[in-house]
Amino acid sequence: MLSKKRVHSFRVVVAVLAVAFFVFGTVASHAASEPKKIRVGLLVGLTGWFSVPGNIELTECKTATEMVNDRGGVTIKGEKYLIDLVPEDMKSSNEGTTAAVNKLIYDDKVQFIIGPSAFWGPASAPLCEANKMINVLGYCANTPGELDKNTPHRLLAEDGTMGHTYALIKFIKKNHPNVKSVAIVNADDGAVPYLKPLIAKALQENGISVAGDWVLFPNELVDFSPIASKLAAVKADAIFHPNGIDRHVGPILKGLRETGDERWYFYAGVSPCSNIKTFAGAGARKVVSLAPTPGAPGNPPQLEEFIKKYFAKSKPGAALIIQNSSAAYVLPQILQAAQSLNADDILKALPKIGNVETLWGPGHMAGEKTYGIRNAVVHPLPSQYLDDKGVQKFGGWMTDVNVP
Amino acid sequence: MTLTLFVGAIINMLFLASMYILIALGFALLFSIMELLHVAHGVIYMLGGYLCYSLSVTLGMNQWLSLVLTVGIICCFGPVLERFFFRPFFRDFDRTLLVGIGISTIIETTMALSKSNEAQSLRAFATGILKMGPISVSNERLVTFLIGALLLLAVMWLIHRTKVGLQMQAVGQDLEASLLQGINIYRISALACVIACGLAAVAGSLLGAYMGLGPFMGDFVFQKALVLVVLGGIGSIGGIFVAGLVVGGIDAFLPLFISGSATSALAIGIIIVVLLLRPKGFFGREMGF
Repeated sequence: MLSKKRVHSFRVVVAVLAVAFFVFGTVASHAASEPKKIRVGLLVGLTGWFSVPGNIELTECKTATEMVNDRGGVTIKGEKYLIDLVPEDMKSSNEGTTAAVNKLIYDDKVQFIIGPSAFWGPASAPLCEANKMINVLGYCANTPGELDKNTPHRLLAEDGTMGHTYALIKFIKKNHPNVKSVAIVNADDGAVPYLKPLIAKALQENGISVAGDWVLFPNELVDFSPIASKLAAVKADAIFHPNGIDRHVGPILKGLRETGDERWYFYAGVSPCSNIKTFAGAGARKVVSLAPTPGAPGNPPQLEEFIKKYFAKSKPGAALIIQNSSAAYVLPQILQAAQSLNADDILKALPKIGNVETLWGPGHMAGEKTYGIRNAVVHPLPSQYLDDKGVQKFGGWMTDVNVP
Repeated sequence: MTLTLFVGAIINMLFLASMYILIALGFALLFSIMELLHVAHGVIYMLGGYLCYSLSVTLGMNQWLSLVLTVGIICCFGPVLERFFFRPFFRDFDRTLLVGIGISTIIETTMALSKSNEAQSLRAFATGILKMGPISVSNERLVTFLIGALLLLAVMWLIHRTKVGLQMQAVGQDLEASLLQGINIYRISALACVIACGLAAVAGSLLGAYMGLGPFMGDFVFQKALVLVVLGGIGSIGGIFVAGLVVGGIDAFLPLFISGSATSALAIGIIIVVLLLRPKGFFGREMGF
């Protein structure tokens, strides 16, 4: 017969084992029922000259990710996945982008990457391609290495410079048919030599000629008065600005108006007219932007939902960009359509994907002629403008945007 | 180049020169007197802009009153900076440089976290455009130019015509001799910091109205200020005027002939050539450290 001491010891061991099984069993079953996570890296400029749009994009991407997760995330072969966004600051530079991609791939072990913004795409391409990392861009400025045959793992989830250009040309043809020539101003961001022939062709196809040479400025320029003077001297019916942000457009517009130049300023970017007005001051009039207008007629329901959720995180009236966030919204659909998280499977599935729903509305896969690879999602674009009194108005949707 | 473009470039040159002089004046004072490379000058400029915005736009005060209050408040940073951040490392170039970098990083990061997704700008300090035939100049630029010119004259008068100014020159020229003469070098340094902060605040407010506000708006300030001080010559406040005209001229005329990013590189190249020909700058002395 066992002694009392041994019985007591035996009871303690059984109790400990029971507790252990209970705890581990609970954790295991909890883990089993919780959806798995897909780690998606996000390249945004949180510091440096692009920090204003960059920080907006961070909030936007978090909003888009929440929308996707609230709808149940992604279901692949019966398994549910939620998106886990891992942001990394690319410091508004190529070197910062490379460093951030390194960290995301090797330290954070992300499975996909969104971004970078604007024209920094070539900086992330080598590492992403070497690691077969699907990288979804929120913008493309048509520089080599940004989106072409050499970047098969790269997708573009936004219209990019050419899509914006086509949309703006449509706006000009519809609302300003008297504009037959434009003076072009742009940041000297390395994409210019590649954009020049494409934009000239797009304009010429629509009966608009380019006057003189492009007026270029460094991205980091602080005072734009010399640029405005140079632009004012170019004889054309209007000004056309393919790539830039409000901190470029506003001061140039201000400088132009100070010289007495009252031509219309057609800006193909998405910085809202309210921001342009902030920087242009008393010169803020006769300028068009392709920014969304909350509550405007024709806004798709997902865009309105996104705007509402975004303003709940940010201040009402805060600027919207919807570039990297478009990528955050589109990527889960691509994964769901491919029914795989494997890069090779996704690439095999891409040719079969025709239509994709974007935050901007219904999109379709395109871009073979423009980029050399059919990896771009093309979608409608809205417009807004400041009239000749500086009053902001909605300019309508360009629904038939195509990037061939 | 047409006559209109040429005259426009001259106007741009004068405006840019006044802008750069405004930015560099406070920096030049500290560099010449305390041999202090005030790396944090840009963030003081940035804080001045944001403070003026808070007073005039957020609180709705009169813009000019806001400017005066901003200068007063930012000037109070001067003695604090001198007493707690610069005096412990007086004339220790390496340590004061590190302290300046630390201050800049902390303040810039704090502002970036709170302000970086907002597009903000002060209202113009003067509205309207002055037209002279085909040439037009905004009153805002005229006012900025005039204030810059007046402040330069005021600082030069202070340095050359007042007892305090002569003491500042003495400290800048020979520290030991100044001490022997009974000059309170810390008091003079504190005064220089007050003036430098005040000038930075004026520049930040005026240029925050012209160019807009941003957490990193002060980044270019340090670069331009250093170029002006080195080009104008260490120890020469008047040299800032000539250097401002040279740099303003380069930045106003070069973009008319050369496009894009090449202008920045060429501008630096021109400055390097000038310094190779005149290492002390236009009117300066040898650097003491």
